[in-house]
Amino acid sequence: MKSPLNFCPNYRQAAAMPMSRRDMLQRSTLGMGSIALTAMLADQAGAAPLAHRPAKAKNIIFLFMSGGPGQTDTFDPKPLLQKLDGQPVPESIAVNVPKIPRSGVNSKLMASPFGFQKYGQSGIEVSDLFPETGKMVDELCVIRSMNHRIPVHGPGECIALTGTAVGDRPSMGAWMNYGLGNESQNLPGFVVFLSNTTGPAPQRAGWGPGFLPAQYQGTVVDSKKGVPFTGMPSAYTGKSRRDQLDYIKWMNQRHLAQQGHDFELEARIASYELGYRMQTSAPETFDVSGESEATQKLYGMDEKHTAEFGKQCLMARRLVENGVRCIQLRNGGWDAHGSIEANHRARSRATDKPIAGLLQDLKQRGLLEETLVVWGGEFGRTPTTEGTATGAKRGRDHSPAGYSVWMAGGGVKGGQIIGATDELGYVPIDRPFSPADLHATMLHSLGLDQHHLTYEHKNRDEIPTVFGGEVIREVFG
Amino acid sequence: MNISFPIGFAALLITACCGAEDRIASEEFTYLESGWQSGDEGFGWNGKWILSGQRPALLVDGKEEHPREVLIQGTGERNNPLRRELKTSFRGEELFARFNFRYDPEKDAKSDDSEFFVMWFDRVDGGDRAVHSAGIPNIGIHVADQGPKKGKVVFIARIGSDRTTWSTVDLKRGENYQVVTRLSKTDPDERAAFDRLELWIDPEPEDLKKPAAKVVQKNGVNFVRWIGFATGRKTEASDRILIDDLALSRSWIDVLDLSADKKQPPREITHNLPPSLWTKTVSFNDDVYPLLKKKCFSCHKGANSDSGYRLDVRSEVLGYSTGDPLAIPGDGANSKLFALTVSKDPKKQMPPPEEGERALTPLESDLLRSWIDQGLQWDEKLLPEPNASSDHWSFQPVKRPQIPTPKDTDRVRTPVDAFVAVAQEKHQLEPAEEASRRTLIRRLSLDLIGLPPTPEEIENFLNHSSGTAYADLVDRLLESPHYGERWGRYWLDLARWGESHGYQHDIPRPYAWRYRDYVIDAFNDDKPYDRFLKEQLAGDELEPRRDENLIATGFLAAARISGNQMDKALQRNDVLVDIVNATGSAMLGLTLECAQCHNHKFDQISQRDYYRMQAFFVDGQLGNVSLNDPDTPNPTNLEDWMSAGSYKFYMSEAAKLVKQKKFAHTTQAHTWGFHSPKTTVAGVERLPVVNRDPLPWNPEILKTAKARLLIRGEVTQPGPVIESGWPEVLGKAEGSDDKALTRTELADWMSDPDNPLVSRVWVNRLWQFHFGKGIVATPGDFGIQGEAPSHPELLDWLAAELIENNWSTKHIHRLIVMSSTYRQKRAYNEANAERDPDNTYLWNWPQRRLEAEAIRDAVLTATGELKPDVGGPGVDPEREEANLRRTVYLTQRRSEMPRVMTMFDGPEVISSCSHREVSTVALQPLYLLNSEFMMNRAEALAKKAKSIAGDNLTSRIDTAFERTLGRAPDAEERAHTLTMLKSAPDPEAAFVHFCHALLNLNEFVYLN
Repeated sequence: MKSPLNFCPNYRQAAAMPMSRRDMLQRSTLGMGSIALTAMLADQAGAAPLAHRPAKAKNIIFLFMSGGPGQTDTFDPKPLLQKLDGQPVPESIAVNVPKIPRSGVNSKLMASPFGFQKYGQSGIEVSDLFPETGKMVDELCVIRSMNHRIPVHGPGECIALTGTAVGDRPSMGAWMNYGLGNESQNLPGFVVFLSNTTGPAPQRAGWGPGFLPAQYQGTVVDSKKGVPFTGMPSAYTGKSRRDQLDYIKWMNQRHLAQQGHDFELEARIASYELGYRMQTSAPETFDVSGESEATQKLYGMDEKHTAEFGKQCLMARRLVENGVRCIQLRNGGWDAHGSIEANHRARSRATDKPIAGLLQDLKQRGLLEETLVVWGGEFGRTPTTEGTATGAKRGRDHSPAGYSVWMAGGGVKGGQIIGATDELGYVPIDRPFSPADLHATMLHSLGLDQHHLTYEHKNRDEIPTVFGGEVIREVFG
Repeated sequence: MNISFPIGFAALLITACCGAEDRIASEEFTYLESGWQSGDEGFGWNGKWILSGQRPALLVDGKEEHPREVLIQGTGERNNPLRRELKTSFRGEELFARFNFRYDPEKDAKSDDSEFFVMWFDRVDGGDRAVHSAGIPNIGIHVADQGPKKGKVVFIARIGSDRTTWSTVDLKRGENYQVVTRLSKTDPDERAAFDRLELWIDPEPEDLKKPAAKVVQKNGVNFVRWIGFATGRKTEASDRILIDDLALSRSWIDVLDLSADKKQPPREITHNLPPSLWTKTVSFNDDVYPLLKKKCFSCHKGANSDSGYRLDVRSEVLGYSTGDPLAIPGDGANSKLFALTVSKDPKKQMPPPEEGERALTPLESDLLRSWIDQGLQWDEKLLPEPNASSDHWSFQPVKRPQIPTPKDTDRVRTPVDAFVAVAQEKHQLEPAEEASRRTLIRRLSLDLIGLPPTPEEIENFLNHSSGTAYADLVDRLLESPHYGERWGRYWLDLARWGESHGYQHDIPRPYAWRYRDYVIDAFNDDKPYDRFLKEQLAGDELEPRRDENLIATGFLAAARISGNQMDKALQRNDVLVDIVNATGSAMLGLTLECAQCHNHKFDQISQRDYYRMQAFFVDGQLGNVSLNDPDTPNPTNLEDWMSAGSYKFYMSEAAKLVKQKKFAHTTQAHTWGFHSPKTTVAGVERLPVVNRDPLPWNPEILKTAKARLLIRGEVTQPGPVIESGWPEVLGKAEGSDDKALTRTELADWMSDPDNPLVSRVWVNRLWQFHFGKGIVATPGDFGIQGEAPSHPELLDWLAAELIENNWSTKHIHRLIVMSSTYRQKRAYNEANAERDPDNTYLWNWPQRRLEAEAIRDAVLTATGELKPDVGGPGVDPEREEANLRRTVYLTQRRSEMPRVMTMFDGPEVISSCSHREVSTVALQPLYLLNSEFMMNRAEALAKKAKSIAGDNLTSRIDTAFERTLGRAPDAEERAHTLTMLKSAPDPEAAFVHFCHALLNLNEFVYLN
């Protein structure tokens, strides 16, 4: 078996300049399509055929619910928990809870304040927080057995989005952007939206490039202003800007002619044209006013609570249509240490309809098959209540020991549940999965083999899932 | 030379549970099947356990955390089944003790059973049936005579049977309890009695003041020499009392195992193994060696063994470098080496089942088991300890090479040229001509001070016809205070320096800027590099105490701290890992981080080496450290140098801590640094730190803290204690038993001329910052996987020059920038490009894009707006417009890095950055064309040009060219520009747009 460490034996990306043509390809976004893939194919010429499979999905939308939605309140109903409300955790379950801080095993159990209903043909139970998403349940593959050991937000977000808690490795989005290449000539390949940034601060590592070149990082987009710096200063008109760009080009080409051959200088000249296209077309892509009223309504844009996230979900669809491959929609504030009922109701009210609208819209446009949608937070929440609060003030602490995520589209077999937690929702008792398993699965859906997606850093061919991770095969039926 | 190992190394691995100085005695009862016979294990005892002839305590297999435990059963009368004498009588004021306890009677035992079982502390043993009662402290279980739990079996504390306190803690069957006690004296006199006894059951660290029971009795023993366990009349034969994990200590922290010095996890114990099939005495040479060779060595031999487990070195079989022993002499059944060969789990089984023909037969497995049982006999001649040396080039001492003589000596200005020319001749490369003087002054100025020359400076240089013009310019630039701002920034990248804690909350460190200034000053003063390293590694240890030295420890303190990490061991380990990795990368040019979890796959760096490095830092902590030199400035207007958001956040976090009495604002001068309660010089005070979940600060714990080899890098799996030292392959490092090597000694070793790495790594970095690429192209990896040097002799010659010239960085600069090699022009040459496409042999100037800071600073120089102030607190990036200082002074909160830095490949500020990438992204032109900052600069440049050149458009164009590109336009450019401006509807606006365009040109942002 080929170890990822000796993949690409002849390719040593210079750790320093000047760059080779290969480096240039890797480091510039000049609309050359799948750069990493091209590079890998080139390296594989004459060697064993690439393991990369034909992809179902071309795009990914990660709905990142930061703060940690409680699994027992969303997608993992526990009747026993309802019965044992206020009781201590039974020994039989407590013994299996990993000894990590704030595991809450010594607190009292807390029944979910939300009811559960069966939806769709599959009859999967979804809490009444998500009546709209519930209607799409036959598209969802719910994984109830996620777990890791990081009980705090920052490192938790890092492990959920980069694979390690330290936060110094590339985000999965950056890996995907690197692996898939940017199809769009006019937009960044990986776009990030932040919404409801109350609660734990967003971790830049979650969309950062790590050791990958900077162009693979997520571009944080303001849902009002769009791609940063695409707004032209008022001192310019379209014509004066064009004249200016022509002047820059004229000067740069003279300079290049004097210098002779130089890929970097050529790339920089080209970047001005790409920037210009981005400036002119990005605002159009982000302008949702042209969408029909029905579509806007579908995303909940007509209602106060859902307007912000709805708009972002709609923009996500438009970005997908315009060739942006990786999108992260971050919704913060799920960190319900107290008053979980009020907190989760507010959060679900803001996101349920937009998410269901997005799934429906992608489906009706035939985009769902080629777009992987993933929903989840950095961890779940304890089945017990936190502290001594009573009544409606009760909340739950962080719990990475067992939590739920779901996937849809992108070749995912919907209407199924994978894995299970114990009777109270504490720890997985069947098919436990790590964030790295989820990452491997997401990459797989996009046609990327975790072991063959390599980037050389400090003389090591790095892969996205460096500490393990297996594709969850049954996700794809 | 062979490595020598500490005597009794294997035994150390097993009993290494007693590092803390507070520990008096401990016993984990990890005795093997052979029972009590196997000797006097444990720590702090005089002789073996004494067992009762009435009914002795038994060793039995337990579960999970208690692989082996002690079973005590009743006799229906007074019995002392187990007792032992301390090595020295305890005569101190406070004695803490703890043990694990479980009451697990046979199923048919009566439920209303009354019980008696105690641990006693006495001066004498007294024999099997002695009553350790009058004046003798006892803790244990008994039926409550009175109180709320009357009639129930509860935990008790008593000094003599007449003074008993019943706790309200019920005894539950089958439950594990940690029983903790403190025996203390009101009168500290040695002859006074132990008159107070307190008891805790399963205490939390904060429970010290809340014992479950407390008793005071005037007449007690005044010292303790024996401890033991006793049962009484009520203890029946069917009772089962299980004891484990006994410890006596001087401190609460230690007795609860809260010290940083965690004990080793228990070993896995195999149960009920049939006797070995191998009945003969094992011969290593005749029996074991052929088997290992045939079945194991293909994967587990040599430095790069699979999974880091090698079987061809005895010490490695004993887990020397990984902390994870494969064999425990005398205990084959519980040794991994044997257990894996008989594992039923195909993922664990060794040799792997897929290699069918290599699977061991039962007899072969048992041979290994018996070999281990019989003491792991070895033939050192056949399989000797490996030599801790390497023939890798960078691990060899620096030797000053002869300066070669190239065929063409005309171009040799400094010896650098001679080395370069010889390599070029060898590769048939034709070097480029010297660049124009106009190019050279721009190159030198941008390279040495990070600012382009002003038109006046250019003019002066061009008119300066003497032969020393170039050298004078070099001198002027190296003496400029802006030199340190440029070159210090490279070091800040290496130091992963930022002005906040990092991670989720990223709470600001308001005085971290002092370290930035320290670095800038150090470069400006040409502080000898060895001294520079020493101050950063051990400034707090250096006499006399000086603020500058303390500020220098900001290098170590630049580690990030999670503000929300409740697992203190993990939080602490993350910091230590950060420090070791940064030190290894920045100073040694090694990827030590690879050895955190396993032996380095390529370099001869073991996991043990990694923790040896970590051991230098375990007695210290990051924090705010007091300063008291009278000339140290102490601004306190934090709100001016933090962004509004981060200031508000900082203050709200501070307020929280103020309320909890964990923090008090201070106006005392301080810095963000690193210090140790053990080794820091006197007069350094620690001031509180704002962090949501602070790193614990307990001087007593830190003083006794020991590094442990973390098995597979897991904090939850501490292995043996490791003493400080550097990687063995780089030379022997040994402290003495009572004194570990300090950070000062680490620094001394770094600056020893025999250290093969430090000088090479530094001159290579200097070369890289001048030419864009090092002589070793992997500046942070001088290991086997690193690139070989393109000019090995030149590298060594420069390293020797550095050392012999008092580690002067400026001396190396001069050798480089004075050379003809440096003065070449950028000139493409087809023939050369074919032979050396990467310009490795420097046949022309390696042009490269400027770094983020230099781009922004060059823009501000062109517009004439740059404020030249050196040092002091930073500038809030959101308010940069109000204070246009150099980019290095923009406040660097890790999560709010200045826009220009995130846009143009600034460092991630997480780990040491040896080299910034250059990416070309469409967002960069968008920033340079559309940001408000750049629009303002375009207007400022237009205004400046107008103020200098007046209304004449042509001279305004010329001025704008000179201020940005350092040259006037040629005729064609001038004509083209004029045409463009004249055809515009609004010529004034068009002139601004033209200025804006100049700031975007490749010629402007590239260092030519």
